Amino acid sequence: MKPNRHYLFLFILSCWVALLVSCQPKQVMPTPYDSDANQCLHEELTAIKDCIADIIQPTDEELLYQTAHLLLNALACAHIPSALLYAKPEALSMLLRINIDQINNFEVKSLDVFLLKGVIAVYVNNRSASLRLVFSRTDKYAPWVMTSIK
Amino acid sequence: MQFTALRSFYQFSLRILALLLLLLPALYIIHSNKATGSERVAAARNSKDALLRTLFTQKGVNYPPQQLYIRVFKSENILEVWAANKTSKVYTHIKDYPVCAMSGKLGPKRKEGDEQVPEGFYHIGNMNPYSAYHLSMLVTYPNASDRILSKHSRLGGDIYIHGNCVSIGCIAITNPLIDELYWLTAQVRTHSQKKVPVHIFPTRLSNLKYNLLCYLYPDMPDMLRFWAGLKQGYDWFEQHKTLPVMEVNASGFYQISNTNSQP
Repeated sequence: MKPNRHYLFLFILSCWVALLVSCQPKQVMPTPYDSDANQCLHEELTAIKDCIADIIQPTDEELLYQTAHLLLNALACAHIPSALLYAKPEALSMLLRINIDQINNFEVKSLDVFLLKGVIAVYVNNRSASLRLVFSRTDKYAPWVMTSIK
Repeated sequence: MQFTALRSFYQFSLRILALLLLLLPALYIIHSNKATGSERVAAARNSKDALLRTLFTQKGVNYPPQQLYIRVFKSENILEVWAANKTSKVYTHIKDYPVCAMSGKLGPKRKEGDEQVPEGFYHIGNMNPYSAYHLSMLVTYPNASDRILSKHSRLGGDIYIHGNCVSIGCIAITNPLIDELYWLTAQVRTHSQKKVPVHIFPTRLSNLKYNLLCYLYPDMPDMLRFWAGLKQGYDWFEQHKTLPVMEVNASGFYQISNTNSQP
């Protein structure tokens, strides 16, 4: 082997070593500013995550509408135990005073929510006069329960 | 002696006079009522006949009708009138009358003075144009079922459909409305139907409301059984629009008769 080739080989080898050393990941120590920024980002993401749970929940109006539908369907089937899941017994007994035979069909005319109280006006059996079903709940997250019929 | 006889005659005369004075107002009231009794019916005819004729024409039923049927729903405070021509026998709904006053609560009348409106299958007994409540029609309470089911010897009676707006076991529908109903019933009774049926129900006995009653009165099985009998009659009429033939069984409960035939 000629001495020139020997030097060339050593040169290429040193180049490889230098390249490998330069490509190694560097250990970067975060500065205090970086830590603060991370903390902020984490808090914002957590807030968004919590908010998503609220955003995908149905609104008060939707919950009331859903409850009224379930109640009226139970009454249409004359199934009192099911109806009692969505109405107080004294509210159901008011039904005796209403001049209807059975509930064959119903259509929601209007729906109003006043925080813990909700009122749904319903046309029953295609009649021109509507029934007003009054619902209430104990707190913002409690289920709606019918408390009277007007 | 003569003085004593004079004195006793004087006392006797005074008593007669006092008695006459007491009787005079009563005689006056009876006389005035008799005078106004026929006048009330005449007034009812004059004010309601044309209206009834129009109503029946709109409903496609002859006027006066051959058959009349009255249904009362206590809970809803409604008195329904149905009528039929003799040929069809299928009843047509004519009108709902709101009941102004009806005492008591749900459940049949079982004794005198309980202020309950009876429940069951009755008919109009007689018509009273001299009523203290304008005009009145007697409901034939008590019937066989009431007599068997009541544990009391005094069942009461004098249950009327009448005018005004007060009730002690009666059905008050106000003076203008009793004018209408009285005149209609009087004509039907005179011309074609001696016994106008009156069926009194606690409520509309649909499945929904009957199930509700079962839920509300779980500790009253006898009453529920009684209502179950009423429901048979209610369901028959709802389905066929003809009058059901009802029987009273040995226990006093109503049941639909096998003699019922579908129209």
